[in-house]
Amino acid sequence: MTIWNRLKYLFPARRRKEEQEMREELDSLTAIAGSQELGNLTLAMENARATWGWTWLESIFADIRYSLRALRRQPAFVAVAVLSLALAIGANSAIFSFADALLLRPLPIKNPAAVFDVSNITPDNPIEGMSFPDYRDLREKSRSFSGLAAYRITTLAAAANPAAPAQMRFASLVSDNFFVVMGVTPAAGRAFLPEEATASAQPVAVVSHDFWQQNYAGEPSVIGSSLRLNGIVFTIIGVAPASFTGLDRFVRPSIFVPSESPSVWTARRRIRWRIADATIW
Amino acid sequence: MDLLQGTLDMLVLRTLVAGPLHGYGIAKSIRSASSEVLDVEFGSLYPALKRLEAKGWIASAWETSEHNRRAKFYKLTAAGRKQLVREHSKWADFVSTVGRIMGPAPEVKG
Repeated sequence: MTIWNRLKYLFPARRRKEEQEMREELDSLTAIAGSQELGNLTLAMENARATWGWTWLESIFADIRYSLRALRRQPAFVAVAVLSLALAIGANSAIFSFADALLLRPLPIKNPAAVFDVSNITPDNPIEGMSFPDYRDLREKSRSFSGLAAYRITTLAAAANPAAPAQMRFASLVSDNFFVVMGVTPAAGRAFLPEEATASAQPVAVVSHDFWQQNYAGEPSVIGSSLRLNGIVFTIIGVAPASFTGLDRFVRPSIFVPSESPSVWTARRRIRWRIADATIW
Repeated sequence: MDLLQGTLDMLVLRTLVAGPLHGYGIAKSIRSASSEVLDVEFGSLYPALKRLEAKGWIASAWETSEHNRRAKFYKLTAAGRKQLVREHSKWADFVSTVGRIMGPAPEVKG
């Protein structure tokens, strides 16, 4: 039998028509021969239906129907089974997404293997990282690294344009050389210049690819337009590439701001910064 | 006597060479052609008819029987005729080969 002929028998209308036809034929033969002569006609019809080639599918459906009927009779058992499955699947996927972010996914930068985390931890300050002035000293006087970049996750009240209402967003305060050291080239515009990371500089910002798509519909004209962060008007100078979601594994900053533009954060030795360096490339 | 496995299709095709018959007519015809030795169960004949029809070797149509009763009559198609020729030569080979091995009935002592 050709594939098409077999597929035709999957349509209920076609099956009904065929069954009706068979019943008529067998009735007419019973009228001619008598039912004694013909034997078990139900079995004959059953076997004739088997020639359509879908008996296996029918028996699968019959099994499904049977198990649903059986389950309906034991709602408590079903509830417990569904609940334990849901919990197990939920726990597994939660652990997997955690392990995925922590262990499997490389940092979204040019050469993740060459990047090190630099910390100075002292007994009285066991938090990883170092203060910004310490970082500045290290960067000026150390010759061991090809580049030292500092970054810090914070939250900002961000308004996509100065007239819009502000929303809380994750932001990354970064040293001026952050994008250069990480080997990340902006998708549009440019990265920070050294002179932009000073307290007296015009406030500038790089937005994440997601933030760009959500608030500016991916318009290239966003470069040079303004955005309000914590009440201060910043100029957007660049858009991070879609692949770059920051160095933190669980927080994806929407905005990158030079470390010193809100100068209050960098003056304090107690505030810890994460220092990343790219040594080898 | 029971049918040898796989011979029913061939017998049906052969029976229909004489002309169209309805399902019960085919069963009766095989029985009488075998001098009542072969008893073809209608329960296994009917699925065989459906199988042959699906393969396109026989075709069916509603007609009026000898006693003025409506019944579905089966007739050989051109493809069915070709199939019968193939099956016939296969069968002839089989019979002669098995016959050569078996030979005349041996004398069994004991």
